[in-house]
Amino acid sequence: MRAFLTLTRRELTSHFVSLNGYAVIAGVQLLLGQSFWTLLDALNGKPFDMPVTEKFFDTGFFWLVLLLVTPMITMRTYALERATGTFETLMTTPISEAQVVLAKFCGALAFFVIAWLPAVAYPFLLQHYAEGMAPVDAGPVAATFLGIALLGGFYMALGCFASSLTRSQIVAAMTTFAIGLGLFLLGYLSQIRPPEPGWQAQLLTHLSMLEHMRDFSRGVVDTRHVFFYLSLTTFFLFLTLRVLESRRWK
Amino acid sequence: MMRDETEQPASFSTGRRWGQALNFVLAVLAAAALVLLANHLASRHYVRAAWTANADFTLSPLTRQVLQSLTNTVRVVVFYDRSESLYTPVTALLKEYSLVNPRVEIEVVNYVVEPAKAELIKARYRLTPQARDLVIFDANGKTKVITQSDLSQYDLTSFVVGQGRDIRRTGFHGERLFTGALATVADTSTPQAYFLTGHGEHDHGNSSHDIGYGKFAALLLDNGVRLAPLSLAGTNAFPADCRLLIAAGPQVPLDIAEQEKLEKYLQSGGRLLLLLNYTSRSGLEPMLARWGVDVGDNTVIDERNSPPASGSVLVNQFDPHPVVGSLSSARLPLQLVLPRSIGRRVGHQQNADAAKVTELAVTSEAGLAVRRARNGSQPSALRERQGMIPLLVAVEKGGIAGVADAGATRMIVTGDSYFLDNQMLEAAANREFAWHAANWLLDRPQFLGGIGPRPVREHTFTITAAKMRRLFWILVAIIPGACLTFGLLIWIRRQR
Repeated sequence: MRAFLTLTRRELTSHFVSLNGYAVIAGVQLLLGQSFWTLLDALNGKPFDMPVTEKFFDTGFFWLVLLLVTPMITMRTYALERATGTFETLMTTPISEAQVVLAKFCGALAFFVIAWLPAVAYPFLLQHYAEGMAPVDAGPVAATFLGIALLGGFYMALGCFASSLTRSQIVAAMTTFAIGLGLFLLGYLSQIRPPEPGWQAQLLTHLSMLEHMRDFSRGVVDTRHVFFYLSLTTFFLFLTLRVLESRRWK
Repeated sequence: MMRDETEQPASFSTGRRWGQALNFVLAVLAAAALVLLANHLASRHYVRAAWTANADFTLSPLTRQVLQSLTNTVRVVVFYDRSESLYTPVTALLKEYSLVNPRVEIEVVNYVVEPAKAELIKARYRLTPQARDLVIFDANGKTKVITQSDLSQYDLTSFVVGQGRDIRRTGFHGERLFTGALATVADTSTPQAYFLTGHGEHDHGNSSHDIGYGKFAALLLDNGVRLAPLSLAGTNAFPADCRLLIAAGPQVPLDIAEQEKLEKYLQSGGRLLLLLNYTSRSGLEPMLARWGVDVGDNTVIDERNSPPASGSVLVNQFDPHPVVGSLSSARLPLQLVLPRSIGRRVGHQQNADAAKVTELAVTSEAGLAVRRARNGSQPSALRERQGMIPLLVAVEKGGIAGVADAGATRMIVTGDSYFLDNQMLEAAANREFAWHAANWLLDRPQFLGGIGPRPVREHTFTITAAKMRRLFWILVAIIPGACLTFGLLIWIRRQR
């Protein structure tokens, strides 16, 4: 356990020893802040049908930030280690491969959560400055950030897997972005061109991240969505572990 | 042959490596299968928890009951333009239905971007070329169409009093209408109702004349009730399939034989909707008295709730009975035309063996019953009663309240029949009353109310230009800038 915690701390602090980690957080906050302000500017003084926070997570801004940031965080996890030659050193330390996989994942996820954390303040900032607004309902805010953490966990696991396949950070980032975008578009396409009722429609609804996030942002925590993200996260971590184990056959 | 000294020999034989590769593939496939199975199980056994006080997406127990009783697939076509304001609440609500029972299959057709598909839907459901923004329920060969105008409740107050031109949408009737439609198309039974004829009743086949009952008949037909006229004259017997008899404003008294047939029908668990008006002469007063119902020979006015010179009375004080309970909770009034008083008979026993008489609606305390009298050749009016005067009653005998029982007699007697005619059916909540009365009499609790309109929450905020500028700087400069500055400081410190 101590080795796991040490490795997790190492992963997390590696983001903060250079300017890169801060630049990523600043970038995330800049994009989120600009998007949120644009939405506020568009809705100011006009009646609309859902709380502004719910509306924000229903827009493309949120997904754009999510899809762009994930590869930037995870591309270095294994690819950088392979490129700099520290991978073999790491794998010969007396810790299991599963601990390495979990520690790298937890480190990346912790950084992802830190990068998004300032956004918790948005609803409260809005309430402070806006007139005639209903009090912030803490439940949907908590559910939204649970959703972001689950979604982030899944994308981090996907990114770790992509990074474990290559020694090029660019390839790792592109792979993560491509798979992440593909999964997102699957849900998006089912929104704009809903399929005929049947098992395909049910499957697409189950896979639709837009639908999941819509529920979370309304304050609905559905165990199906939670299970979906946890199971996929576990699956991609398992794949990463198998990829790491495969170096032994060579 | 000499081996190249620089070539690294493989740690494993080729066979071993292929074996490992196969093991890898199998492990991945097994894990993927586990993920699929686990998600399949999770989708069947799930919990949807609401972390909010404003849980306007939770379904009523009645809707859940209807959904859980579905055994056949119900196809729901949302024929909508996505930019319509009701599109989001309609689809969100139907999604909740589908989550409770996946047999509710939703098909969204955006007629703006899918014109070919839209034409197919119009042809399949025989919609008019102008049809748009509808929700169609289809099952068991039955269809039910709900239009956008049915779905909203509007606040016309400011418009009516001339304070503004805004008509605000204050309520969304989606759940009530969708649940009703679902129950209608999923119900394979088609109960038979008869309209009594031969005594000058309203004509249920007439949709054009003001006092016809064509619209009321259409309401029943739309809800899966078969209709036919019934004459009890002569040797005509009561049909065995009669689930409901409607006597709409008889003007000529029923003869003794007819009254006996009717009494026998009621004693054997019959259902009667008796609509009397201020000119009715049904001859049924003695029989009704035996059932504990007192029919006043008067006309009721309510100075507090009568629109000037209209002769009508707005009634908004209801009993929590299933027929009118939802009107009470939604604060919807009934609009009656010159009603007569219909109440519980004084001294009527409300014990277990006797018929249970419930006064469904009463006037306000300003109600006044005026007795029609003739003083020689001149008609005159006498003040008979003042105060809260009952206008409608429900009678039930032999059943347990709220439990469907084919053997129980049920009767609704109203002091007006014009309020359900073609002219008045759409006034106030008269249509809702007709719907609830018919369904209570037909033992269809799944169609009864209890589902009020969902409030439409309008979100709005105002931020002054100065505050918007301040917010801009906080969101776009201060928060990201602080992160970057902190990073720079750390970096500079580490460089030293």
